Amino acid sequence: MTSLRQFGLAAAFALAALLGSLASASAQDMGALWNTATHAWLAGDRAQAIRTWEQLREAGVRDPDLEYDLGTAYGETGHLGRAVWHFETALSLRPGDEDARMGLDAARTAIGRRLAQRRGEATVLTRPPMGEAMVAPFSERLLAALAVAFDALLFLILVVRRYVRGENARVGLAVAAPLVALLLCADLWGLGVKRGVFEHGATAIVLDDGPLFEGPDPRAQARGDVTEGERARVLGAEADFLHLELGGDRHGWIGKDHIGQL
Amino acid sequence: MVRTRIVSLVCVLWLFATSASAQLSATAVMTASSTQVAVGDPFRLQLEVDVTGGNAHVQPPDLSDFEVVGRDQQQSLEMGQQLQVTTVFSYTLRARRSGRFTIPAAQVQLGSRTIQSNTLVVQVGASGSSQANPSSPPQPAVPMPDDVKPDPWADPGTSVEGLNGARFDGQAFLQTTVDRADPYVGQQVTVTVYLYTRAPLSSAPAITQQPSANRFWTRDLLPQNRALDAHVQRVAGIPFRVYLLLRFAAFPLEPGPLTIGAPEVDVRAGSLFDVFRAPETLHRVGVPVVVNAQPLPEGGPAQGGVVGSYRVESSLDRHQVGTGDAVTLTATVTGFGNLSDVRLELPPIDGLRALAPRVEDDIHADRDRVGGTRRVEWLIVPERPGSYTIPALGFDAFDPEAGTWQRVEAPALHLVAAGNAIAEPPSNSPDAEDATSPPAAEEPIRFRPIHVHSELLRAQAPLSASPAFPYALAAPPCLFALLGLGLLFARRRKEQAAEDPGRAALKAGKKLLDKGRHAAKAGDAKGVYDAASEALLTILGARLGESARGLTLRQVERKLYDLGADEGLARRVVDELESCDFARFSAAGVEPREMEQALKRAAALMVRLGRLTPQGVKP
Repeated sequence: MTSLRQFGLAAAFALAALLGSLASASAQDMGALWNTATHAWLAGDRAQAIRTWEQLREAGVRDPDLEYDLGTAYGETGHLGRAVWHFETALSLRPGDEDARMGLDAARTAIGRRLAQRRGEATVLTRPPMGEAMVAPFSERLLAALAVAFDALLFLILVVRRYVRGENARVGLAVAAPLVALLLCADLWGLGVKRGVFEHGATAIVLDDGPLFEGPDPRAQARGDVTEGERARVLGAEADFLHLELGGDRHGWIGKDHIGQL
Repeated sequence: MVRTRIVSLVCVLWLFATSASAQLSATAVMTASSTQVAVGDPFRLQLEVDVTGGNAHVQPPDLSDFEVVGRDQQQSLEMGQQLQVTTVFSYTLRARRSGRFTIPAAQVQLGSRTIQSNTLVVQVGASGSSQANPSSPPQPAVPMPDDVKPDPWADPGTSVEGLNGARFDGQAFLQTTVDRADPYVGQQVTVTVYLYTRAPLSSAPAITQQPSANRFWTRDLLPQNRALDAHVQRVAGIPFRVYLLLRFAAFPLEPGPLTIGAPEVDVRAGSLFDVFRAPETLHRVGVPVVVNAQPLPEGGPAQGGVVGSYRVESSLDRHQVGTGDAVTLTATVTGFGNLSDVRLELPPIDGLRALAPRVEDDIHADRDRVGGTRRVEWLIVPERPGSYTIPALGFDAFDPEAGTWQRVEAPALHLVAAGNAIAEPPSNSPDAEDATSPPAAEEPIRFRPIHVHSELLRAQAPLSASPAFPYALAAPPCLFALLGLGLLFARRRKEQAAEDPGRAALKAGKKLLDKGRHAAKAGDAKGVYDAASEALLTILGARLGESARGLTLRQVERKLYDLGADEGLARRVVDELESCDFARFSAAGVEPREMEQALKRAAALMVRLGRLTPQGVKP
């Protein structure tokens, strides 16, 4: 019986060690890839840097620094739609990232300049809708944690108020309760905006210029065109196509490769 | 026999009653199962005469050009405000020779007036040259021999002449019709599905299977919300209610035989007020209908030809513009047909750059004809100064009514551009891997340096999407609610205790007796009798509303009488208190059995005292 227990313990330790080493090896690989990409970029090998950063993304890394670097790399290589997408992703992961915000502004400005040169005039939407702009400085995790905290605080105040004897304390708690309730409502609304509860479909960025088709088929009639960096809503998907809603009440289908979802 | 007499009597009485106000009128309609037949092929001719308000003499049409191989006559009565007599004359005819024959009108004599039916023209081709009826089902109806009358009641599914696109059933059936059987590719075919029922519908029919229309482009022609009205039509002499179920336009996408699939429907027919026949649900399947789409005739473009009647208009929002400024070229195609087939191509013009067009459609159906407007907009940017001609925008369209191709186009437009030539815009290749340098003509974009350190965080699901989040949000209000309920319960208990002191005293007394039982086990006689005495005094105090400890036994007894206790109870309480006092010091009281009995007696008296209702108080 004792030997069986010892064997079990040894096996558990061995498994833990194996998993630990695998995780460590994976982290080391990720770190090595990151260093490779950084060194390639600094050495001027932009293609290698972008490829390596993309490998990290494919491996499941969703890091604001990685998104920022990819945005910068695509922006400097002229792929402004992709740059906008990565900067937007970086800002959603780390709201308030000044570098990403400036990169996004620069990419949007460059798109506007490019469109104006091509069409003679151009209007570029540089700000998200008001609701999204209001909650942009806050991360989803922060809003979710605040929601739980405000919720607990509100009911704690209500409980404490019942047992508090002092008149001043009771008045103070009576004022605090509706204020906290208001904060809770605002926080839940912000969380809803972040999660896209009040909108149809997920937010997406158009990565490249291209035609907008009437149906999910490259042979379908083109309804118009989309411009890199445009914000869109994904209404549906079929085969390799996404059904988009864009500004100006435009609807149509476009290949998945042309769209980056936030 | 008796029933026939009763019906006849009712008819006579009804005729007598309404004869004063009756107005004699009649209609006569002649139809044929086919108007294009071959020599020797039988076909069916039907003359239906409706006479209202009296009798009429019917003179059938002259059928000498045909061989009459069978004839039949059916008559039915219908009583509304006036008596209506419907007589259906059916003839099975066979053409003797080829040619074009006109069947003259039948005549109905109404007193001094004569009503005429319509005439029919029958085209008789050579033997074996007859064409299938456009809307006939895959198995066309076979004319019945004269001596075999269809009995649809006995054999559902019987073919009935003149009824194409349907499988006859005596209770209910579906009919699918098309307005043309050999349309051109791209030409509208109007498909209609009718529901025939003997009994009125008790609820809207549920279409469980829409008619399939593979290799067609389709568009509904009926509004979403509409009333389901019926008209009465006779089939094989039987009156049916006919409901318009579906109607849609179908545009064949390729030549060849194309099938409109069979619809399926669940029908609840019958009246709730019909005591003899309750409403029942019927499932009916229609029959598929084949149309033979014809390829477009020669003379049109190799591909991209459009079918329909259209016109095109084009315009520029400005005719003079600076180089690099965009102008909008708008082309509007209006007409009837499948507008989604219309393609307008703007040919490349040297010096002008055109962006991908924006297309907007406004398609609707006007009197079952699909049409509307397709609007195509191009943004055009002049790259060099000069005068430009935008060629006529148009397309080749085949008009099926005229049977000819025609060029539909808008006149050419002129645009003058002034200013300096602008540089060629950079090509924006989407290939991210290869294009690693910014387009040459663009100003370099300044970004901040890359970040060289990263935590390489993994993708994380949103915190608010985790399963625990809703529970975390719900926990505080739930706890608050539980706390509130607990407080409410405690307050209620307290209030109850205040309202009924006897219950609290009873509880306290029971605790004292429990204490006494422990003392009995330990052999503590004093403890046992003290507990029994104390328990009785506690409940007495609660019942009397004052402490009983300072009272003498006689006072206790008197107060119990005052409270309404009977003599036995008061006496026993006093005796028990007295015996407890005595037993504390007696040798017999030490006996375990005696101690146990004392506790039991005290418990019984406590219960009786607890139930005691004070005088003047209703229990």
